Amino acid sequence: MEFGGSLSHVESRIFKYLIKKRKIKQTENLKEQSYRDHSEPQELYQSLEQNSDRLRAIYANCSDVIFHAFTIGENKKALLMYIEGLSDSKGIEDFVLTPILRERIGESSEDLQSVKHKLLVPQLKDFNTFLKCIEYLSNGYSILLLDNETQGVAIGLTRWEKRTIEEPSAESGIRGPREGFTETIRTNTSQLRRIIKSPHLKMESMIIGEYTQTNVVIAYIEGIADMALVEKVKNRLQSIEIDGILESGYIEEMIHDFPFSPFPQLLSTERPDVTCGNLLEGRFAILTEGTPFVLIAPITFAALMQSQEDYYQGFMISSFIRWLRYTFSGISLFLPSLYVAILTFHQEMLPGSLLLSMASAREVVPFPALVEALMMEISFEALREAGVRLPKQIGSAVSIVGALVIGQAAVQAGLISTPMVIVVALGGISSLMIPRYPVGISVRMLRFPMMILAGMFGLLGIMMGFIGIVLHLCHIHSFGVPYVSSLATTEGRQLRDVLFKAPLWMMDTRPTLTGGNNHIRQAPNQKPEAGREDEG
Amino acid sequence: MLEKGKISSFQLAVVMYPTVLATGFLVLPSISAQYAKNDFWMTGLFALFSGFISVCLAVKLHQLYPKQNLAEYSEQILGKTLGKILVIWFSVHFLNSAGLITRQYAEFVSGNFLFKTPILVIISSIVLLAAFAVHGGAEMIARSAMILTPIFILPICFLVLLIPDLDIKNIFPVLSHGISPVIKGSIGPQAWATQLFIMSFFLPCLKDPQKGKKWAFVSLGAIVFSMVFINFIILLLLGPDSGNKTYPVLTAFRYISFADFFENLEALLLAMWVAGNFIKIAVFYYVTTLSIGLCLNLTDYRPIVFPVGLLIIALSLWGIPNFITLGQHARTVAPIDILLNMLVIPIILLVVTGFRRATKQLKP
Repeated sequence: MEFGGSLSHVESRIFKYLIKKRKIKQTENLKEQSYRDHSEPQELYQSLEQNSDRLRAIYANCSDVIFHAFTIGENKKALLMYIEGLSDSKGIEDFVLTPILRERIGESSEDLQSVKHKLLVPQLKDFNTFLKCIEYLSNGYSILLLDNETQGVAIGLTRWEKRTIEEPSAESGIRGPREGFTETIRTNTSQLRRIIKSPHLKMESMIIGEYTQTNVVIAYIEGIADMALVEKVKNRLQSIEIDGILESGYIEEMIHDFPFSPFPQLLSTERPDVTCGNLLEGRFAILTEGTPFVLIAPITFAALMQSQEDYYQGFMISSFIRWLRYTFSGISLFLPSLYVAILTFHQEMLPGSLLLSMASAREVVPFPALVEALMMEISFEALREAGVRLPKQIGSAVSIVGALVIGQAAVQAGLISTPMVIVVALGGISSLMIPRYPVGISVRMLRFPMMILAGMFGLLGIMMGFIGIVLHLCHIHSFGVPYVSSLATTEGRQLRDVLFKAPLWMMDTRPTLTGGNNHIRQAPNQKPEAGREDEG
Repeated sequence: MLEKGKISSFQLAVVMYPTVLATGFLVLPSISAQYAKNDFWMTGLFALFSGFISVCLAVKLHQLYPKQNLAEYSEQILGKTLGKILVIWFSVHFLNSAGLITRQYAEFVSGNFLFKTPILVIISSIVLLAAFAVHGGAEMIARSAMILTPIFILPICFLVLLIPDLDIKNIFPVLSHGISPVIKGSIGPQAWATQLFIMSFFLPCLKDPQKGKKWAFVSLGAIVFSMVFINFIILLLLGPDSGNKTYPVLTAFRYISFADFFENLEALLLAMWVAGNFIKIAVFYYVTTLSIGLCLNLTDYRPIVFPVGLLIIALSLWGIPNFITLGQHARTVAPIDILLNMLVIPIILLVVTGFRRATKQLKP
């Protein structure tokens, strides 16, 4: 054991060294291509000419960057630069150029401070390095540089075209707020801030992506969230070295714990109310510039089966709908494989009359049940995927092909049986009952191995597959919180939000999560009763 | 300590229930019915007695040596050499039991669902699944048990649907042959109940050790209740014929016919039962791996999980040539084997500890 232990130790050290070396090399490659040329000085020069030359060199062949050189007063040279489309050019004219240039000769306002005082813009930021200058410029600030100054001013006159706040299309509901996140991170943070006004809502931002320089914000509520967890997430985010972040999915794949799991370990949502609900339960949210999808973690499997409307409706209705959802999630996973297993191995389980009608329907079908089921399930998945991607104009074509050709015509041609169509349709619809799309799609994917197991071992195979899935779910965790923690819990009160949805006045505590979060949600004994005020 | 995971007492109870009953339901009713005839429903009550003793033993030894499991305190109690021998003994015992349990499960499956599937396939598939659970440690076994045990219990609840078919007269004459056949028939249930002693491997990783005893007794109560319930249903349904059935519970399931629709459900119900068997195999597999790991003074038991799995597969095939021998083994050898290892040896351990402590106090 001693020997084996030391050997594996050495091996792992060599392995780690190799990985580290490779990583350093790759990072160097990444940096070489960037504009962060370390041979050139980082600080701004004294002379405007040198600054201007350097910046023009950096932004060579960038037709969207506007350089505007002008003179203040008699001989003070100045340079204004901005990116067209990101800065408000009307505002620049009205609030920057007009006040500065309406200068009477003789008035001495030739240093930066006095120029700054004249600007009619509240958001002014000083900088003295090229790096900062580029950062401000790419974020839509206008840059004002003066001759004989080693400092520049970034003027916060940003305005770019953005989508207005709309109802989230992938997560609609009947009751609840109608607004969803947009692609602009500041709009998104403002939506959160409008709901949670307490200063305890913290939003720490960082830049990820060598080229995209994407703004990423971690939001959490101080005093509720587990700070150790927040630190852990920040470290993981900071360790990402990538050329660009186009969507929060990039971040999700870079930071989750179990990359080889079909189940999502971070919840993605485009609803501010869902995000705030989770923040209030002690979770944290990661907002990414350029996408309306916000990531939430740590999550549990049970939380993925909950919808925001569960909390807006009465508890009886919510509990009923929740059970409906659980049942149909089960149906979505098991129904096709049960069909295969029963028709292949356990025909006796069907009542006589049903068996007869099934047998007569399947009489003409030339394939075994497994092949039939796989064929139909795959074509259903193809239809679904085609439906997501297709241009709107030909949408009706796909539905005609789907309904008529694959449904009716295939049955009439004797390729598949009618019960199979029902099974596929029911399974397909029930997978959409799962309120979180990524979970629905993992369940749909897991149907295929389940069907094959059912075709091989019958009901026993289904049970084996189920045990396998349970084991996997018991194995994975999301940021230290076991995935099944609220399901396989030993605290009865945690089941209040899982087995059914308890009335709001009963849910006095938050979910346990890592244990480091604040547990008390509200004052106890708030059950409303008729005539309570009269007694008091 | 090899295990770093933490489980709660309630989870322990949930793990222990199928650990005792998974194979218990398969073999016990028929074994005890062969001896005790129409009084075999009482045999479950005797199991309460021996189960109580083994829970007390496990808890007492745990109190004397907290944070240590059976294999660890054996060395403390008996000294280096004898302790080591005992640990090896236990490893072999658990390995053998795991093999037998797997075989029992496989025979049951191949005799009732998959007549043509090679038994090796059935055995290796469940052992592979169990290997993943064991690899995850006590925490993972406990968590998966929280989800799988309810599925295991559900078919038992379906037996209530048999109430219209029951005949209460089957219970008479009570104790017509005196108490001794009942005691003979209760050896099996007693042995199975003493398997609760396995929890001594889980007690050191409890989050709330003060509740361990309480939940162990709750588990024992549930086990005895289920045994008596099942035996009652079988007796009232099958009457004096119970002893002749290989799997009386399966026969009982076949009787279920409700609303012209819930009939012939035994395949579904028994598939659910596989969940319980899985936990039992995983627990024995885990205990085996842990004891062998301690035997070899390993710092981590995970590297030997898969090799031990291969041993379990091998042992499940080697000792038992056919189903008849397996049945005979379950009737004659297994009760003695289990009682010796799970009851007698722990009693010896406790007595030696008491003796050692007494002499220590006398010395100064």
